[in-house]
Amino acid sequence: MESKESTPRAAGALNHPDANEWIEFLYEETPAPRRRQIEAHIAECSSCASKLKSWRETMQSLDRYELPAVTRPKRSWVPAFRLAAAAAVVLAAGLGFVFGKRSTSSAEVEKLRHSVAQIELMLQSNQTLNISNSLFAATAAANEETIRLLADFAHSQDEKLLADRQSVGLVLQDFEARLTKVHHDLEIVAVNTQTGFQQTRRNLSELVSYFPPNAPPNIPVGPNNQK
Amino acid sequence: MWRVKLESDPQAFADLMQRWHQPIHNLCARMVGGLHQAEDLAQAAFVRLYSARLTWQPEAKFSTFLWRIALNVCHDELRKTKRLGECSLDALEQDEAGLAGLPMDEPGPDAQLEQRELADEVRHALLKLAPHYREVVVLRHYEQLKFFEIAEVLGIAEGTVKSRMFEALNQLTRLLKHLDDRDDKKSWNPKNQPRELLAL
Repeated sequence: MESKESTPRAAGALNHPDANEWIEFLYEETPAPRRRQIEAHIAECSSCASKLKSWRETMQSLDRYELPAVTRPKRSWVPAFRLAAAAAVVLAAGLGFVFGKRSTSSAEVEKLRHSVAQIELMLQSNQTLNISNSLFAATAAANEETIRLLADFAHSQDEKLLADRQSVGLVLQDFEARLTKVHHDLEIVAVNTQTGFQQTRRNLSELVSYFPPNAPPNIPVGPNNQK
Repeated sequence: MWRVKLESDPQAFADLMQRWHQPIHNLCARMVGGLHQAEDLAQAAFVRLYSARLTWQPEAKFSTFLWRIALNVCHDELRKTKRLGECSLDALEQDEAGLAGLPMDEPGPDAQLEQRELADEVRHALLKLAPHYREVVVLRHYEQLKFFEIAEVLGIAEGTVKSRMFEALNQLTRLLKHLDDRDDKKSWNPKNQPRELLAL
């Protein structure tokens, strides 16, 4: 870290800037008033001026480390065209050599040159067409594949939905059957209970109206009344 | 970024990559020192960005988010390199040819060669800094972030950023002193390099 007492202070000079102030100053983030103070200090303090010079030289050195722009390689079809054209020229030259042995008339040579040019054009147009066709076929295939995948996905989703509905239907049917059975059981319980209540009422009525043969009427029979 | 986050829009993500690929690539290159490695790391950073898109808060600055991700990727790589005991400088040699891709409109072959040598010296000096110093230098000096922005990216106090930058600048001054001497003398000889400084 920067020492504030590393150099003798000139009369009337400011304190030496600290580390944070130096770094702000170097990267021009110092507020204007403080910047003017530091500049005045540097003008008076040779030690600080020397340090500042060496830091700035370092910053200039850092600027030398540049990086190349990132370029993404593009696929080029030009070499294929060139190779094809070269092959056509070689082929035509070979034919010309073979035929040239039989006839050396300038008309035939001119005709051969014309043929070579035509072959070159044909090759180029054919290759362009082939590339175009391949691209079209590749795109169409990719589209078909995408559509097929989408159709498969939709089909699987439909099947899943149908299966879910069926299972929900089965569960509902089971629930309904159980509900019917519970309802039936409750009806039986209700009928039995009603029958039981009626029977109990009848028994109680019979018990109230029951009189033993030797007992006087309205005198209850109990342990204290028995002899 | 919100389109990437909310709609996973591939075109929006492609636009983001187009805008940020070069800065992120440069950051990675200066952090790890190799151009090819930097390309891989930049790709990894964008993959991580896409994976982390749901964690991005719209009120936060996108660039801060992306710088942080890229730096994390670089630190992971540096840790991995260190753990495997690889010398990072070795990996760099293969990329020295990459520096040949610098602008070719220089005055002449000699000047270009000298430029490449100087750039290589600076690169080696940067790699000798500890990563927490190097990242501050790269973000401030090369990527031109303000100190408060670096503080946000690194999640540390602005004063700490300045202290680190000051220390890094002092270390670099010691490491690169011979370059300035060479400039002064204009007659530099590799055998005269202060090896004790390079060994720092």
